[in-house]
Amino acid sequence: MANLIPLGILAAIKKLLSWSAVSFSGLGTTGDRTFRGAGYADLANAKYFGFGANSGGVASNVYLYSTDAASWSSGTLPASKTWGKSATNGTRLVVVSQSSDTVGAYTDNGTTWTSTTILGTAANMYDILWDGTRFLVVANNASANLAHSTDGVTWTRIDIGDPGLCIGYDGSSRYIYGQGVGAATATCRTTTSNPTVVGNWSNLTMPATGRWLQFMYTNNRWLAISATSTTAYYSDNGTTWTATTLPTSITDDSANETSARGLAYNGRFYVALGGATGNVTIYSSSDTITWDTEAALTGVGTDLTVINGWAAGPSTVVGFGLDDTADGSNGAIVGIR
Amino acid sequence: MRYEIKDNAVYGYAPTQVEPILYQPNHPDGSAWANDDDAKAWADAWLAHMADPENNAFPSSRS
Repeated sequence: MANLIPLGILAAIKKLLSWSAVSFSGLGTTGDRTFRGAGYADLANAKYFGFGANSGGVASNVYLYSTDAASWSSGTLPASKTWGKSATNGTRLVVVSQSSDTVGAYTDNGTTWTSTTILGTAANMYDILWDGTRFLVVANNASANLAHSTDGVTWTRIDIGDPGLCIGYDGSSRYIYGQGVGAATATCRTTTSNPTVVGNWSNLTMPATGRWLQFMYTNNRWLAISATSTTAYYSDNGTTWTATTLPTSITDDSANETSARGLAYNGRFYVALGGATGNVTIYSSSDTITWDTEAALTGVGTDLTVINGWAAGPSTVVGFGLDDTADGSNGAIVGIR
Repeated sequence: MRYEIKDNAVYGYAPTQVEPILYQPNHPDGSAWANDDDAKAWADAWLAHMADPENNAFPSSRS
């Protein structure tokens, strides 16, 4: 007789993460941050990182870090910026400035940082990824909107389209560059060849206009999210898309063009939807069609209104975002597998 | 921009690529098309949205 798994256990298996609020209260007012990005890198002194500005949204040189996502410390970056998204090549973490700037910073141990000039002309750098060969930085710059570097130190800038909001990569061939800074568009850009060659990029027409915040890929499927929409789009090839209704609306932190960054993790997509204090919930899906409730953020004691970045470790993820009450205690949430 | 309805799905096409930019086998909320007219009504609203980005009225479900 085959071993049968009771339906109740099957239902429980779908919900992969347990969630709780992260407390930075031990850091006092230093823990009072407006997070714009996050990152995970297995470095000697730090693994989980939260980046952003101070509680009033003012540029800061402070970031938060932890080796276990439970005990947190504050560290110092080379300059006061609105620090945002980050990416790692496994031995180096690079973080970019989200406010108009030319510089980013990198670290090899998690606590000692070096400034690096990424752009020639100041612009907001909204996204960064490591594709296995190079870092790619997206900027809202009309003429130098994609910067690339193999080491995070020396950068080359190219113009692949309109000012950019995000970049996604399927891990093997396709890159998608999201557009729609300031005004909705149906036109994004894509390539299945070397992304550092301008001529390799071509238009990708999405089946809706939007400000395309994120293109995520996992479980052989892309998920595209645009601002202030209850409709997302999924694709198995990156060129033909199907509309899918989200449980509720995406939050648009339009003042900062960061908004509501989802997470592709361990074969599932995670998105925080709702957008108002007391009304934000994290949902997950393996197919972008059926969504499971992971956690209502108020239920785990946070005041988050949006999650702007995720530090995704091997079995623990930390979502960092905007704490409506700016009390320093509830700007992040941790999920454990 | 144009669409076709075949095999109970809406296929949307743009001048920019040969393959469809849209494949919609049901309402975005997962509910099935009631019939071809139901799919056509949704597709017409989609086309209107693509022609005018300010027109964001195309429904995600029948209700």
